[in-house]
Amino acid sequence: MNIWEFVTNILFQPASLAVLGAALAVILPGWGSAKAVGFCGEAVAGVMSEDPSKFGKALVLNILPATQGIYGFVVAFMVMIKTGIIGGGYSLTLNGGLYLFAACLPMAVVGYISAVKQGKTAVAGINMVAKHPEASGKAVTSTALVETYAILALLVSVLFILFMPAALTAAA
Amino acid sequence: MSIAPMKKLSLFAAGDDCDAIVSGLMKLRCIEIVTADAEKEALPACEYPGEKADAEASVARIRSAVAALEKYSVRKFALLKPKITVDRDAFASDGSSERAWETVGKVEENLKETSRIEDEIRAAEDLLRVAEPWYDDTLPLDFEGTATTSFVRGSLPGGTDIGALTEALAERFSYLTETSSGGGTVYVGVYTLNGYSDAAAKLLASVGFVKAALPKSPKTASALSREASSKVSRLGKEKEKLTEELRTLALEIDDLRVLCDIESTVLETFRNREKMLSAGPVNYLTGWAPAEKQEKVEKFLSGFACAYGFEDPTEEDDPPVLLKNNAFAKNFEWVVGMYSYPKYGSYDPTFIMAIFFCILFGMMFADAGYGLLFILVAFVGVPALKIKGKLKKNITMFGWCGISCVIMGILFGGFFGDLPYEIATKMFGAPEFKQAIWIDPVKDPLSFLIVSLGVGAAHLIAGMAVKFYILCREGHVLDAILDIGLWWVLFGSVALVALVPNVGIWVLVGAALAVILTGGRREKNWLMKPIKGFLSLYGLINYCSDLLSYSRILALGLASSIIAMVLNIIGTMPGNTVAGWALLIAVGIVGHPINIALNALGAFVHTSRLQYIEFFGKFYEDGGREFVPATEIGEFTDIDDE
Repeated sequence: MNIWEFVTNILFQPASLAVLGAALAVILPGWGSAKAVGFCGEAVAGVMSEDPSKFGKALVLNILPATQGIYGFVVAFMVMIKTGIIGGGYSLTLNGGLYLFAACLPMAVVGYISAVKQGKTAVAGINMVAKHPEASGKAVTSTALVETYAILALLVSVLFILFMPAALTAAA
Repeated sequence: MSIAPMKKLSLFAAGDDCDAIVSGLMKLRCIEIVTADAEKEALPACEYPGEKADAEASVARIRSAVAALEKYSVRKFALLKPKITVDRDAFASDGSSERAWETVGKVEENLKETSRIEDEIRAAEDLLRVAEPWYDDTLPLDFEGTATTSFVRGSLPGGTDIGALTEALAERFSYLTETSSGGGTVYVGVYTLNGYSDAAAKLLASVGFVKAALPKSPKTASALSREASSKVSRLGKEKEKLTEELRTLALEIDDLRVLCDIESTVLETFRNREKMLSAGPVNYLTGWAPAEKQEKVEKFLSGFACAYGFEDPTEEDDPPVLLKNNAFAKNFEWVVGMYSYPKYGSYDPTFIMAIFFCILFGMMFADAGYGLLFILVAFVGVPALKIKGKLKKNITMFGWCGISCVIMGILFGGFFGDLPYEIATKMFGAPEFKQAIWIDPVKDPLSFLIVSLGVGAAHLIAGMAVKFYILCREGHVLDAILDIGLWWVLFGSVALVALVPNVGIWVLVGAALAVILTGGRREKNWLMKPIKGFLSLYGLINYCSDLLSYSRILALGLASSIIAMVLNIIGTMPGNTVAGWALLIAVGIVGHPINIALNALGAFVHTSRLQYIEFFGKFYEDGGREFVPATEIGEFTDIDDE
């Protein structure tokens, strides 16, 4: 099998494309969230070594960037339902596969970037909480601002998937 | 609903009465004692360095005793540990206080003895380790040779050619005996004829001989070891006895905790007294009290020979802020506090915010099952576990949100996700049905999005209404109508365009023109007026982006319901069998708490954000300082701060 045959016969199949999109929606935001929660955890450990009583406030900031991974998972799950991987009952056209692949991209790309950037804001917030625990609400708010874009990406990806034109699917 | 008006207390009292007055005020818990400005009043501050140091030392002693006993105490879990209810005065007068001090003394004695024994055990164990290679040596450890020879013990690196070394030593009138070997080392003793020690020592040094550091003792190594090991076991028993004593003393740990709070309160009294100024025989105290507590304070002070006055705050003052809310809204005050307390004399938004907080949280976390759990924890668990104070408010707030979650869960179809649906269809083969009585956000997200934006619009308009109210209260009725009222006309006309296009479009144009014409009215320069007016129409974009921000309700609602759905789908896969039900329960017990933890946090953070940025942004004046009254210390004991 040459490359051309691989592309047309295997990669450019409806289910492959949709699954590729879903996989990216899990991989990239999950990767970003893991990275961000990881370096936030390091910052929290640093603060804890000084004053363990701030753990509650620091923990909220620590897990804020975890949500992108969850959003990615939600998108992937909706693709699984749409493609019939879960539940069955659908079969896609090639355009449908490509459509779902594209629908996953906002979540996949924005999810990764926003998780990492949110993590950096959260680290700054954790360091601030170490000095001014009473201002933790402000730190949480400015960290949550970053997430707005992950939420918008999630909304767009989800709406794309839910409102997929019926012509792109055919009952199996 | 409001910010409590404050009164400034100025008090002159005889130096001898100060202790009673300050500790009495701390019991009343309605005065925030302010550090008096020594420079402005040109008076020296009161100082109690000796008393304070004594109190600090007492607290430190009790704390270390409590810390030592905690290990052996039955009640370990700090979060669930209810506070001790005790009458402090009775505790001090009925001899409990002396007994508690005796216990502290016993614990200190015990700890001292324990550490001495531990040191001895360590020394004996060291000896055992050092003596071990010489067990087979029958000579006493202090043996250093006979009349004509010298004797030295030491070690050689493993792998040394002992035979060759013995021969080489023999040439220097020395004799080597091997005692033992192990761990890459050979232990030897060397006899040398008097007068040849230098030559032998040089040779030994060249092969890496190290002289053994052994205790000088007329006994053999094995005899010494026997003694040491019997000592270790005897000391071990003594230590066990001391631990047992600590275990018994730990039964009295609560008395020590009460004592700790009492002594900490003494220390706190001195700290508060140092905030006063000294004016010869009298001391000067300033503080803030809520106006409604004035009478209570006056009644207390009437028992002392002192002069005092209550004044209203002036422009220069920075009074602390005490929020006054009903039983529902007071649980949400800490959410306001997380942002910033409102400025003194401004508007307290807690009540309105609390209502929207419940609605928004409920929509983001629309699940009746999860909501019931919240209600159970907040309204059954908290009283049962006697949780009080800040933690109680935190949890109770989620309880109120839980009520909203139940209502929203019924409307939008969530009971542990789609658990009833999955069980009915997968386990019992029921036909498909709609679980939500209104809108299912997973099946019909667009309708849910519209509802979300509608709630958002109500929230924004409520924020603007608060600003409208504040402006009117300050007498700027015209500003209220032009800056807020006109926008409402504009919003209304957008809706009107959709219903009656012919009329609506003209109302819309009219309102927009009015905004442009009035937007620049504060500008002095006539050229700038129309420009500023046009720019104020730009506010429309801000309102639009504020409104779109509420689309996060849909996103967070979907995230929590879809994760619950995934759990239910996995759990019901095997169908209606024993294994199937077991899997469903197992997946539920592990999965749903994780979903609750993650998504309740998300719902909380994003609801707060909508309050702080979209809602507070319309009117809020921040920068207030929380009212923190002087109080007795209640770290372990219940001081009933309701």
